[in-house]
Amino acid sequence: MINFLTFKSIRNRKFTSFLCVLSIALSVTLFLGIERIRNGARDGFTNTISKTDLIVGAKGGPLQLLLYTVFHIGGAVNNIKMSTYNDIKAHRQVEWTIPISLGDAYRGFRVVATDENFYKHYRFRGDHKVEVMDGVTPVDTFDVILGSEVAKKYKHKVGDPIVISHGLSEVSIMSHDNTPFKIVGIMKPTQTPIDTGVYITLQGMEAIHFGWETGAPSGETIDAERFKKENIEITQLTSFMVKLKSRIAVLKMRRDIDQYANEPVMAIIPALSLQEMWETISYVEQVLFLVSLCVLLVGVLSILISLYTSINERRREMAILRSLGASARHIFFLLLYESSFLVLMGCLLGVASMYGLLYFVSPWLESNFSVYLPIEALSKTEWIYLGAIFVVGTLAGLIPAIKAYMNSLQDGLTIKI
Amino acid sequence: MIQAISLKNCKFSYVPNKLVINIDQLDIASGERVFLHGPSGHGKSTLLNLASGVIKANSGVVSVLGNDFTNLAQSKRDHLRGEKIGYIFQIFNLIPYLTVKENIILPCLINKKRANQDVDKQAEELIDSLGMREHINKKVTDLSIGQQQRVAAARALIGNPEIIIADEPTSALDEKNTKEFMNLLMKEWEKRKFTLLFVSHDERLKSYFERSISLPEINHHD
Repeated sequence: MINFLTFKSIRNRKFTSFLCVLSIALSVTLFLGIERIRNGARDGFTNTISKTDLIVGAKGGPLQLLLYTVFHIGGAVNNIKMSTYNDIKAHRQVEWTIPISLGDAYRGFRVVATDENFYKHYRFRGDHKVEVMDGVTPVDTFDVILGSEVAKKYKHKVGDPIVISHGLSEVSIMSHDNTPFKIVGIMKPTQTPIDTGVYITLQGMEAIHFGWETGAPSGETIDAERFKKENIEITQLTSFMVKLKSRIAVLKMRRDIDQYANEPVMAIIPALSLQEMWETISYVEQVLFLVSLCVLLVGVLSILISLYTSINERRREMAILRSLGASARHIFFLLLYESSFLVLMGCLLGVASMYGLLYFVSPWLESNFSVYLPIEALSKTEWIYLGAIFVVGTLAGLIPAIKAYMNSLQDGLTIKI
Repeated sequence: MIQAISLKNCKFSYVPNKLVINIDQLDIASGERVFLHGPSGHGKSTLLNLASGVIKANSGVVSVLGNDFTNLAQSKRDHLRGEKIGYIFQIFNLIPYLTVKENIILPCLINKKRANQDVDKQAEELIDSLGMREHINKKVTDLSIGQQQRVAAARALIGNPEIIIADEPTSALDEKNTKEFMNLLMKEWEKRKFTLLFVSHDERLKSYFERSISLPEINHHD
């Protein structure tokens, strides 16, 4: 009888019940949505680079090394010698290395010189690798592959020639006009800083600077022979990534690199540094969490208020039910059922609209904020949250239920109008 | 003869030292029609609450259908009321968001023992005998007061309870509706022979009953 009455009574107060469900749904949507964005932002950030055990660069700030190697932000004070790279690369513990050479920009986007190991070994967000959407990876001196954002912004296609400027400003002062690069490929979107990179070969980076040794163009024409890949000698790098055969060796290797005798170099563990960096901004995360908790509180309060105010107008109804044989306990559970039903409906609607919202918002979040939000089933934590919301909402219903219980004990069969 | 309702040295008070109920002896036999009258303020509602088991006497005996209510747990008394007692209020008897039929079968939903056979059939028969066939699926708020009281009577009658308690059921009705209501109740009594405890201050209705009790005469309250 409780189910029957609950259903009918909720239907009788359609509008208020609907508002109740809506406010719960809204808070559930916001709560779960904010949680997802929060987690997505953190995961996106800390997984910008994965699998790499160490990043090695010239001695300086560890954060700086991370920023320019992974995020293409800022620059290195010093480069490192190629011999250092080759030396560490030859270490028996090393599985692979990815050399990075930075310095130039293409219309505001960073030019990154690397070799084929980057396309083979670089990983982000777990086990995702760099993939070519169109064309091939660069092989020759003047081959370029663009990050998806760069290609999108300037509507570049494979085969287009581009000019790479010296320095980093968007408005290039000195262009390397005499070194015409050609786009050979465009990468798939990764939602990482790779998308905003222009990737060339290490030889290409060296070639740009032929005749620039003094810091300004010398004006001399350079013999085409010199640009041949096999004729270019790589002399320096900005930094490089290292993957070891065994994770156990990471700490020792890091110490060894920090004490490397031939050149002042340092190594950082990217996963650790990313985590540390995220924690420095984690108060934002906590504020978001608090905000979503408050929103939830408001939702639960709305149930309490709406049920509590309905109690007095339903006193007569309670007395009638009592006369028909319902105990005060019946009345109590009737109210409790009503609140838990409303909360349940609110949770269901909330989850549904969360997915709806995700469907529309996630592409936008992905392209604008690099927050990657896959439409996934509810996680274990989310189920726990939902369970907790349900329990708290039902508990909020306890207060009007107790009130109704007391009323019906007091009123008995006397109808209060 | 088995007593349907029997009170002996029954005392009840809401606050200490102010007896609302103080009845030495009240016996209502099974199948009897009793008219209980008296002005308000003589513990009428309290007596009905005692007889239906919603509250418990402080001392003495309240026995309903052979069950000693003074020694019965609240839940047992609630259960017994749901199973064996039909109750009619003076007005607003019905749950506003249920239809006529849903209101009538409600006691059977609350207490499964109220009716052992087909509840729907019983409800429809009762509606027919009230002459309210066309209103069966209407919202009760669309009915007139007279019609609402008849539906309340049908709800009290469903499942053939042994006792019907009517608490001034006609006080909100005009003369014509009162007459119709009383005739209907008596017609059903002829068929079912339930014990009827009818409370009213309208002494003109006395003629419908076998026995008339004046509450001020039996209740020596403070």
